[in-house]
Amino acid sequence: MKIIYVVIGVLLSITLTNRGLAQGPPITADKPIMLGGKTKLIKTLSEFRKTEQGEFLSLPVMLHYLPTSNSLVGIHVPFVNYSLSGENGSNNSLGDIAILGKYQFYRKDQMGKTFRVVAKTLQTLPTGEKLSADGISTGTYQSYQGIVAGYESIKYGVSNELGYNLVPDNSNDELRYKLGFGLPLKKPVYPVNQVNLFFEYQSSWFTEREDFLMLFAQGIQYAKGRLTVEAAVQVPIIQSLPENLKREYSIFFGTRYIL
Amino acid sequence: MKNLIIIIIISVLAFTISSNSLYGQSDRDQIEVQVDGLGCPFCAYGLEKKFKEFKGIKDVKIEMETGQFNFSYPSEKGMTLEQVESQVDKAGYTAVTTKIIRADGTIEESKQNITELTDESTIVSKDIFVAGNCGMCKARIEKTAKSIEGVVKAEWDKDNKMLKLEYDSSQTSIGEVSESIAKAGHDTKYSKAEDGVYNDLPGCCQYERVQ
Repeated sequence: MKIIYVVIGVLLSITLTNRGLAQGPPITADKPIMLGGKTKLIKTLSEFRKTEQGEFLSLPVMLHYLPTSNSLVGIHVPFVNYSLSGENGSNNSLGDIAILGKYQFYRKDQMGKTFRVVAKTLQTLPTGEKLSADGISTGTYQSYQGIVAGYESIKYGVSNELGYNLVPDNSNDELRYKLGFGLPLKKPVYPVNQVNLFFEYQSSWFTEREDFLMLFAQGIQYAKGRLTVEAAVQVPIIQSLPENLKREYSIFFGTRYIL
Repeated sequence: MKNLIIIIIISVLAFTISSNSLYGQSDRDQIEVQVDGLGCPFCAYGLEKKFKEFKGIKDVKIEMETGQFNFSYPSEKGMTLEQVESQVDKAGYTAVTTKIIRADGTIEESKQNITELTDESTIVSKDIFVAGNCGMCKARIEKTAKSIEGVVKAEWDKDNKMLKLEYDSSQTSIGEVSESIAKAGHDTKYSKAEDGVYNDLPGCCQYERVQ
């Protein structure tokens, strides 16, 4: 049944890519486009996640800084509220703090379009509780290395990310692939005034556990001037996971502001 | 007496305003840059933000479809072509052509392709039909033509669809220029663009095909 989401996403993508417009940054995926040296960005992407073991609310604050036009450093500090079923209880706590680094090593520009490739690293610190909530709070050190490649034109945007997440005891090692399509609903103008649709997929293969998870997210984004507001719903399409880790859905709400 | 005072005040004000207006126009350089890589309005924001490092920049205008980036800058600061191109690069984009119209009317222009003329060079002027619709087509057609070694001048008129070419016939030919423009997606009098390339053009550029 969940395959319907894939089909709808692909069909919408094919239909809408025929429009001659432009789009903004992906919501749950990543993109290789950077906004020029010395730029500072503050963003948040709150997530309400419902799983078989309970509910999680993550409220991260993310600060990004671009020292040059092809590099970025960032820190993500999430605050977490969770409510678990059974005797596990509920609490507010600090989630896993993550440090992000990106370096763009390939760029090919043409009129109204660009293709770029970025090396990405995300070091997750064990500052959160051990909650088995990947990307929110696991309480374990994690080191992610990946490549983000994206093509962006005034017609459409496609972003890809392939990477590997290492955990010291290998219990949660993960090969991750993300694919995002961005499609605009308004003519591209500057200053920025856009409404964009996003269709994003994430596949996670937990190599040691031999578990697999595939998620589909559909989102909408409004950007005016330096402010962007976005929302998305993410559901599992395929999940071969232990029963307690199975996901029901996630709802995202985010804002970005270029300082 | 009262009327005379009013007339004098109005005259002085009018003179002051017109002087300021003239002064305002004549003390600023106009800079026009064709920028590649602006795939979305956020990219344009990054570009403008980088140029705001130049204190005194005004009248910023960015056309998303053509990548045309225009602004004005105080003439006495003497911005150079190299400064403009370097700043575009620092913003993370590519400057294709840069033109500075100085306050005194002189024009400085970087050329994407500087054709070197020799004793054997023969400059030929020719107009050819090139299909297209909009400003984005104009930028693409002219950029393609100017990138060919031997082309000295290329200006496409979107109203009559004619490309005015000046080229050195010892270095290139009308056929080579025509083929290159067709490869970029535009039918010409002599060459037809492949369907796949045509279909890949933005919606606004999808002109009526030449039969």
